[in-house]
Amino acid sequence: MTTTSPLLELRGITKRFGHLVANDHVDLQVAEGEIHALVGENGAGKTTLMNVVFGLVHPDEGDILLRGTPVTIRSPLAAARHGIGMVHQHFKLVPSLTAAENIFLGREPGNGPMLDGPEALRKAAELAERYGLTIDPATRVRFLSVGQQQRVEILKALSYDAHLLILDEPTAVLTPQETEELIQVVHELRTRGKTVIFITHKLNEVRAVADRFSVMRDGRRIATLSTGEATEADIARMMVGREVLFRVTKPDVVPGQPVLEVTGLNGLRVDGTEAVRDVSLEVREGEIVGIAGVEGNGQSELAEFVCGLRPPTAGKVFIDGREVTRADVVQRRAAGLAFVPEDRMDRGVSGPMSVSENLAATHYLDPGLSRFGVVAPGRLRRWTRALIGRFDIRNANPATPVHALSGGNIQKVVLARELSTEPKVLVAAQPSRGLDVGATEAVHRTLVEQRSQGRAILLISSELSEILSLSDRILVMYRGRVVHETNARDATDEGLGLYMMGLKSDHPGDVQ
Amino acid sequence: MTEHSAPLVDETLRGTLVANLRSAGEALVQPALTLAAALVIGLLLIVGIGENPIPAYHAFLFGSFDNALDFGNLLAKATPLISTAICVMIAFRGGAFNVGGEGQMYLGAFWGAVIGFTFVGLPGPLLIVAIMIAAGIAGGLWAAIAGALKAFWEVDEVVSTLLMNYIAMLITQYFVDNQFKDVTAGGPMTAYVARQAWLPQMLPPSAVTIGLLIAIAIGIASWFLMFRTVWGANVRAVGTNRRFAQAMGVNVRRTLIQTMFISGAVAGIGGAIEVMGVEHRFYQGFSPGFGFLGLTAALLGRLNPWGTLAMAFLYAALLNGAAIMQIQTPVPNPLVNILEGIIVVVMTATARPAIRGLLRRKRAAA
Repeated sequence: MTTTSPLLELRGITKRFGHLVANDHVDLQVAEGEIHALVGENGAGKTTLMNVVFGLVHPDEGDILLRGTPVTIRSPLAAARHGIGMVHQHFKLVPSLTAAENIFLGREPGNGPMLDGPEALRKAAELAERYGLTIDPATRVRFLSVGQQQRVEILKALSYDAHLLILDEPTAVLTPQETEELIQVVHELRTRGKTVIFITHKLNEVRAVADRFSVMRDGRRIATLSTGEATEADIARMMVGREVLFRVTKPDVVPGQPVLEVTGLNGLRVDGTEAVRDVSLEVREGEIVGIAGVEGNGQSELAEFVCGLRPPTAGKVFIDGREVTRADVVQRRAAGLAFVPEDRMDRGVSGPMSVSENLAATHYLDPGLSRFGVVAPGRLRRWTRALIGRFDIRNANPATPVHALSGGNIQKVVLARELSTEPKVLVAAQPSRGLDVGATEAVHRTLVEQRSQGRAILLISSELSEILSLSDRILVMYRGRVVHETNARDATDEGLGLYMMGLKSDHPGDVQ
Repeated sequence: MTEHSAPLVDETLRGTLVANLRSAGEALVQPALTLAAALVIGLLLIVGIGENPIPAYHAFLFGSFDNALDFGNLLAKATPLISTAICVMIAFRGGAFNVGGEGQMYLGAFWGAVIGFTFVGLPGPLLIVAIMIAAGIAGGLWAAIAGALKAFWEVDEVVSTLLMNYIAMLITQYFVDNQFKDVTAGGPMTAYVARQAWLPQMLPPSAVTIGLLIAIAIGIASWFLMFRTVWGANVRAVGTNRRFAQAMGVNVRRTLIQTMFISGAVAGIGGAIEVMGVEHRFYQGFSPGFGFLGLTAALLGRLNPWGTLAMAFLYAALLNGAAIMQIQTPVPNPLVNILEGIIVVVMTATARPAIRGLLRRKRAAA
């Protein structure tokens, strides 16, 4: 620590939303030139605290000091004038404009009403070069990858001469490779004298990226430490407030009969391009088969074909020995299929509907919940309450609208609905996406329990660590094909990574 | 994450009733403010044309409650509005904006009348039911066409239902000018329906009939259908998140078409009630735009069944009050049209988020 004033100091920041205290007298010091990770579970108050610094949220109490001088930050524009930039989790870019146009949106170089396009491109390229962030400034944002779009956002913040950059969960949307690159970019920024606050709830990133980190829990700052002083387990304990099991302990289960079989499956994306080519796989009772792969290599479509949400162009799907290739969703569910979709707000739940209605969506015809098509409200409530208890869904009444719950609890609603049918096969796509440590642990524990009970689980995930820790067998998908199959015991991060990036393949002649 | 859980809602019937009333109460705050704002602007208008606003507003706001006749006429105006407003509410819950209530009501009224003057031998209750069934099928099928166009070819139902209003009205116009014209009558109208199908009056000499009770029963039934049946739950799943509904195994296309059918059937039955209760025959021009007035009432009621019912009454009070105001004071009736316009404008400021949400879902589903 330096003895001079820190670049940013927060004193006793308190922010209440109604009866909810998002920030409870938070003190925080961020030194000039450091990378400071702000970690904590979803809802711990990290984003609110940073929104205070960025002028989006006005604190009820407390002071903000920049280099020892108290300041009031009323708006993001004021924050920019103070040299503070923020990249939000959801990008705020115009897809139809070029990278350069986005960076200088509202401040376009030019003469009166006339734009100077070449000048904007030149300035953007110069900015990109200065910070080692390679982008093509003339490309329209809609054609950029998520990682590149993020760079545009960072450049936009830097273009305001920000010396303090706040990145709100920047890796949540990135592939592992893009995450690596981002971490390098952040280190590069530090060598150029920038200070970075890096919000995350992924433990490995804290140690990979930060000099120091602060842990938040329930709106309070629990601790600030140097990254060398703490192990990942220490950080997790501080975040969750109890011991966290990392490696899920999987009991030995002898796999039974194959209950999900896919043979020679081919199919298209919505836009008509090839999504899946010649995929065959089987999942046996008591077995977790992991599908690894960088997102967009056909995994999402594979799940939709298996679950009957889209027709494949060729190939067959069997559930418990019955061919269901042409069966509809109801028939597949009746055959024993359950599905945890990759985006819970998209296919997993209906946000405005109640917990009860979301849970019951596939259960209305269960005995007791309805008679002659009329719902039995009392029974439905009791049934819901039992599931809320069994799956530990927090802050939920049967009548609570689902979108009022946290991501982890919404995922528990999905799991509760899907698993309470006693399925034979569970297709789980990105089951822990966007969840914090505690919620991820709960989801993983549930999946392993299901495996012990003899369920066949097809796990689709772009988190390699999730695939490695849960799966019994692993398949790697690249450009719609299964390019590698291995036993989970023999698999490593690096080994699978080569297949995920298309550098290796079990099919001879596939590798360029 | 916090460890505490929220206190559980009181489980008793009383508890749910209180919760229902509270949500209905909340649903009423916004329209009340909207109406208040519109009335203030209307007040300025009355002053602006040089009239005394106090007797005018007295007649406008309280005239309907002065005596049984005026109150009965209010209820008579509420009867068709309930049907067309509930029609909008049902479709909206299923994710479709049905602005074709007017046309569906016309077809329902027409085919109901045809049954009514054709099967004159049937006993009263049976004939009344037959008329309502025919009207429901006519209005329902008309709306289901728009539902099918949307389900299979992504044809925007706002456009199709709106334009089909004119087709429907031209169809009935053609029939009452030709095959089904009552040549003894002076205008475009059918023969009278059989006497036993005339709905009994409730507050003679006012125009209100037991059709009001039928309309209220339909409103209550629509709540039951949407919120207490499995089908209704599926409809609302489609209406709130189509991709979710699909993943749950709901046949989205079929549900959409069914929803539009039910929606249109309610409007059609509303038309039949007008035929059986008021004119006792179908005549072209029987509706002063009930379909569109119902749309406004439904939006004012925030597309909640109870709010929609309440707003249909309130809207009828406005219409009736305007008529009384015109009789008793020099303020012209068109003022109520101006007020109505103002209400719609003020209301869209708050209803927009709901509509925007609908459009977003539509885009996401595409």
